[in-house]
Amino acid sequence: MSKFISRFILVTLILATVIGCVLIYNNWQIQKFITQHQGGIAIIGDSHAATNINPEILNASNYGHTAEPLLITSHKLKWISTHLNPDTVVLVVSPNNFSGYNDHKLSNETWSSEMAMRYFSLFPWDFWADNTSIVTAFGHYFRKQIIPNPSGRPEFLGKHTPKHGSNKGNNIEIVIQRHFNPEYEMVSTNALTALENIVQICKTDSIALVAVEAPLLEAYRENVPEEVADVFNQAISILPDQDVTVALTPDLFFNSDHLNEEGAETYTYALKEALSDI
Amino acid sequence: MLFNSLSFAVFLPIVFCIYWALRKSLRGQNTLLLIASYIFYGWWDARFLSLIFASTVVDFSLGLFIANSDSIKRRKLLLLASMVFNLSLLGVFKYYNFFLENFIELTSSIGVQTSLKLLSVVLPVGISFYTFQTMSYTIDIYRKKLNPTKDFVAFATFVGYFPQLVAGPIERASNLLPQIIKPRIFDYSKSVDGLRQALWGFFKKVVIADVVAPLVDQTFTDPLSYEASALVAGAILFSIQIYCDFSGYSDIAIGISKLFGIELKQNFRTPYFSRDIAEFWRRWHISLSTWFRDYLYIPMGGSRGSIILKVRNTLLIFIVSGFWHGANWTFIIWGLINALLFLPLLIADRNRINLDLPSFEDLHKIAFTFLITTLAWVFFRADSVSQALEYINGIIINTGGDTLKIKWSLLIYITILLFGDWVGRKHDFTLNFLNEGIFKQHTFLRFAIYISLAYLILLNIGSQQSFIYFQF
Repeated sequence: MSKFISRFILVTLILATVIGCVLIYNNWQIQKFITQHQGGIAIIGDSHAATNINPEILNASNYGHTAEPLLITSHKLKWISTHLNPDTVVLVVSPNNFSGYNDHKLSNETWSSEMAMRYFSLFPWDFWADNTSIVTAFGHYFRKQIIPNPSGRPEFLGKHTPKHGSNKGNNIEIVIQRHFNPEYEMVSTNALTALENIVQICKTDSIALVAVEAPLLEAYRENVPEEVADVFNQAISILPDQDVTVALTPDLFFNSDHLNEEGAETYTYALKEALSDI
Repeated sequence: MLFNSLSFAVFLPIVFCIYWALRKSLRGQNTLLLIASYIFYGWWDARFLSLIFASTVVDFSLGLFIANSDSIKRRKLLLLASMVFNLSLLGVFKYYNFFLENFIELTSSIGVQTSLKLLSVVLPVGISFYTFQTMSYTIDIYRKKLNPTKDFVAFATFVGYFPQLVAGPIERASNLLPQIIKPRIFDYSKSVDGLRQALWGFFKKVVIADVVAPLVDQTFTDPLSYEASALVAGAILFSIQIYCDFSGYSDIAIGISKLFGIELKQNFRTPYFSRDIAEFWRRWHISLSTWFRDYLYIPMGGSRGSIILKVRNTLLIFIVSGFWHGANWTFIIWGLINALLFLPLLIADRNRINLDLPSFEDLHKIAFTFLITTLAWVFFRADSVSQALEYINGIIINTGGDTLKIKWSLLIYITILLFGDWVGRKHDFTLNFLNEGIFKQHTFLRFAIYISLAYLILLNIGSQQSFIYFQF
């Protein structure tokens, strides 16, 4: 019996040591990443930020992440501001950031595991306990942490994800239903506050905030529910004014609300020019 | 309580330690196993413990009455009482609504309206498993193949034994009860084997079945929106999922049971390496197929008698076996398809070939058998017969649509599964090959395999996915 238990403990300890080594390695890589990414321009937002802006052209870092609610973006900015000290933040906003569906991504079946996996470390435990099972949330986070991460980029930061191919005329109604899910309340209760927090963080930490609207196909824009469009316009008024003037033909879109690689390049050059005016 | 849950990770070591601390008291150990089993089951829904307890009391008493009775008529009546009781439990909780729905549909099709109401009941987890287990007990006593036990705690432990209570293997009293009645001694190599088997079971369940599940769900939820190759991939992935989910559960159950010094029956023997459908059924869910063979097929005449009788018995056994899985036409059709695939072999008297181990030369036969079983699984997985037909139709006619995005990591996991099962195919369970050759000589090699598998399990363990066979 004692041999069995001691062998079992030995295997468990070796496993724990392997995991410990991976965690230490990842932490070391994250520290390296932080050192290498000090200052400069940080691009934040959801998939519109991740897809539409090519960071190489701007000599910036793209921290956009698919399906990221503004509430999380504001917390993420706090971390970016504290650890990476950017000079400028480019925030990409779109009407879907103000959809009520975003308020449920931390608890619903489709997104909660992904959200916990990415953002668990950004929030205190009681925040997760309020939204989902803390054990499950930690489990999702933990299993991501034990994968060696040679890039050192923390999972919650996100990165530029260029899209290849052109708009295939996908069904706008389905996209609209997905972004403005009628099963939930139409307008987010915390997105406006999160946006104000973003403005406040930038003010407090002396970061120049540049807010840009994500390019959208006209057909998408026309189908945005009226209540959301109203809140979006209200949100735009809070943000520092910044227009990016560029003509984007439909072939530069990957779908109704994301640019493809070529579109992203065109758009980023226009953004670069706009930024040079600041 | 699920095997792949945190609560079970706490529960098992506690029960294990107390169990072996009580090694000098057999009654103490059995009482602990019984309490642990009821906690394990009650964790899901304590109300249904009353069903297990009722089944235990009824069959314990009837077993004693049958053994003490000399009158054949009385013995038959007592056996009948046991059958009626157990089948009634199944009938009410599992099949009542199915029969009623079909009856209502039938009567309304001829213009007769009925006001019968469906029952609003939850299917108690594991009911098909423990009722079959207790039925085999009374049948064996009736056949004078088994002496009844007078130890109620031992019998209740046999019925409710937690490792196999909710999804098998379906144990026979002749195998399990003597082990429960006899004192158990801790056996190092048996316990190590148990942990290895459980580890492989967790690998199959967590790393493969649970990772494959969302892909399968996608294709079966909306087959019309996928291209044909995606539907083929979805069907193949379901074959892998059902195997890894169910055999994974069996491996965990058998492995955990070994930690308590109790050996359960082997339930799977690398079934996807079968060279024909007859061999597949000798290797798949062995405890259920042998149950039907011993208690239904052979009493009906089995493969003796005229061709018509053979065909009748085979059709019946496969259809009943399909129906055992669930009250849905999809399971009946799944059983029927398997019967139709099996019958040509039976008629040609070729159902008993391929008794040796499969080799690489048999690859084409193995691939063909896998494909036909995969086709039958489509009915098993679909929610309705029309959905299954829509799925198969999609495989034939869909020319466009979405593709199925399968990650490279999943293909690597499936390769590990195939490699492991192939190497371990001559053993009772896959990782038993670690007891041989180079692995036996080098501890670090064995440890490297354990740690790699455990690491993969930790990497993939996410939300607790229930086991598919819980619903049966």
